Amino acid sequence: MSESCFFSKKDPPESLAVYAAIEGEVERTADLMNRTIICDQKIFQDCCVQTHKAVRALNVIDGVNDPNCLKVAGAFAFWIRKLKPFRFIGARELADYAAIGITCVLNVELLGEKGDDHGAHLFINEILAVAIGCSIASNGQQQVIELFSNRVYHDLIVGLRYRAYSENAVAMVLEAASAPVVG
Amino acid sequence: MGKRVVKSFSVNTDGLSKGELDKALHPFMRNSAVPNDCEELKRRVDRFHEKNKDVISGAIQLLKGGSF
Repeated sequence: MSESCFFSKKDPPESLAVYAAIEGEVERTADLMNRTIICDQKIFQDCCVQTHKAVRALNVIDGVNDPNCLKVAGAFAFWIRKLKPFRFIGARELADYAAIGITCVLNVELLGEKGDDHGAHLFINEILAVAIGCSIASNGQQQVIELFSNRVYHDLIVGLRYRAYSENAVAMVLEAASAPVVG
Repeated sequence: MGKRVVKSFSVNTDGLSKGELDKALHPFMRNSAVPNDCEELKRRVDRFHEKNKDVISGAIQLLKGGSF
């Protein structure tokens, strides 16, 4: 169980390099949500594996040797949204862990069982899926999300949770929102 | 009645060998146009947030307001 709490790890193993790369975004989202987020590393690893398989399938089915970043972004966002490796941890749960000898160094102020966000915390995986997907899709030639307003970004997050999206559909949304960088 | 064993969650590697599995952890795997390392991913994530922090925080505020 301690393995799923990345706060307890000083040096993540090599296989967690991807997580280390996105950890900053997880922390920033935790700040915005005023909560503490933990990640189940095995589920996250599964997200990476499934993304790899989806991209590999493109090679087999479509004969695409180098799928562009939008397809990778769509697949990665889809699998984070589907497998949901992230969740919040509360003070009560932490006390349960402490009772069986598992301790983590956490910001105690962010462990409150707050109920004043109208259930916004339910969207944590979708929030991170969209943020990471858009990040992967953004490169020198295509700057995703310049065309997104708060409302469109919000609707994509909510849609990922409650509507049917495929890997390709997410990739298409990102592609539609891509605009070439001018200047 | 025999003791029932519940297996813990394990990653469905689906035939990927150990080496392939490590490579699979790179989202930019198989894209030769992009540096195949996690430093590039970190740069993109940080850059994206910096450029779009108003949009991201605005969307989260909408969620916090109960707008689903």
